[in-house]
Amino acid sequence: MQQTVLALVSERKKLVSTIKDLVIENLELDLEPHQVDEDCPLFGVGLALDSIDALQLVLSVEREFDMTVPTDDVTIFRSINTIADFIERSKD
Amino acid sequence: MTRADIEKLLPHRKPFLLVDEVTSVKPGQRVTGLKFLEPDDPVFEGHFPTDPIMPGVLIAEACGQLGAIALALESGDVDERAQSGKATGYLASINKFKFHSPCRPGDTLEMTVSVGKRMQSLIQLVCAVKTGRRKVASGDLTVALQ
Repeated sequence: MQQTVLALVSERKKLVSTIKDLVIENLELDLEPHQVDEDCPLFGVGLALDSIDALQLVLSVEREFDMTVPTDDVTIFRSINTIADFIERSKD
Repeated sequence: MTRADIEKLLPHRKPFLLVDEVTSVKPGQRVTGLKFLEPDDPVFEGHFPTDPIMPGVLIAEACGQLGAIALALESGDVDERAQSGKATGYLASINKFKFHSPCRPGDTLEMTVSVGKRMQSLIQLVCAVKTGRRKVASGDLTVALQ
């Protein structure tokens, strides 16, 4: 049981790390992964990304995880953690 | 589609209308078109005087204009669109565009633009350009429709 939980935690950490790298690399942010908080808002305050970045982020998530991302649900891209939640939900 | 029809759809004019002919179009999905690189085009006088080549940014711009035609025709045919107003799209980003080989006066750019992901007023255009069998450029643009 504990091993299963540990495996899930490890998998989640790996996913979050991949998303952080994706955001930094594709949007050419001058940040290190440890400087991006998983719950930090990506748009508006926080990382202050704009709508053009949003479309780029959608495309890069689709490419990296080989999935289709709806563009009418703005809650998916609220933070790194919400993107991870969406990807995990999509796998189920 | 002739130059006259293209001018009914786009607000661009000489010397900045960079689509000479539309060879096929699936409204809202895909469009192919041509740009003839006339040897007397003033752009070649300066780019470059002893080695004239088509500037890459103009190739990307030509693809954006061609993509706007596919988007304009989503809401009606050429004459209906001419009545309702020309499509104005603004280039919002040029993403990972590659220029594989130079184009020179006398070449014809054969451009294919596919309409990709849409997010509110932003639209991804996937572009591929060749001249004859030679790959010239490829990449993505994002345009903002007004």
